[in-house]
Amino acid sequence: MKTETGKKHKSVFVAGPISPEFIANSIAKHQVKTDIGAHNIFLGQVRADSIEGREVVAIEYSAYNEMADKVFHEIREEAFGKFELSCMHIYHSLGAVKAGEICLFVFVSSRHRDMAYQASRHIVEEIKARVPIFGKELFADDSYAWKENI
Amino acid sequence: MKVNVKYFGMIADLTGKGSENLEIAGQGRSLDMRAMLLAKYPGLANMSWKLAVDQEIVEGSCDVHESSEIVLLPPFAGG
Repeated sequence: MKTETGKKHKSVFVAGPISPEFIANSIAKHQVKTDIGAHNIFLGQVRADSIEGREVVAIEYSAYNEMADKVFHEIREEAFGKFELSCMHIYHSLGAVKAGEICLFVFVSSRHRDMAYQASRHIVEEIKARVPIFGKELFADDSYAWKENI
Repeated sequence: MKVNVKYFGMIADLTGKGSENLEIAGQGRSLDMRAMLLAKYPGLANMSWKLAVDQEIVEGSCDVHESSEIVLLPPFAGG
């Protein structure tokens, strides 16, 4: 997802849940980058909310992909401009993710902790507010409701 | 002028389709797409949604052409 204007943006979307193994491998890949002193990882997990007596068993994510890729790219560029970061990785699920599984993985690395903490929070808030991703909360009885970020 | 309009999430539920071609009046400049869409789908008045034209959120009137990517976006739920 490195950034030259006009270059096609690498999508952050992955099919289904983000596995703990995938996250572990991402961490391992950074062991060669010895200028890094601080990683900060945010993981979004699907919560089994109870809505009018029905429990959420999964969220099915969809997106307006073209715009989502563009906005993810903007968020990434803005964060690199705002914070001193060595690297940044963002992954978001599409399709069904069960309660308890991971749907968002934001991974930022910096020389020192302050930048990593700040960047992580900023990026997650921007994703929630600006990226056109939609979530269909699926209930055990096959009914559904549309989720809305608050 | 014919334009293609896409719907997502709860808005696709309301319209019963993921996209459609709409015939719109006007020269393609400074069109109030929101008003046109509300007239066609009154149920949109009870929903929270945004209009994107060519992948940018549009608040008021905007320029629309036959090739414009017009999309109705329900509330975001990423993360």
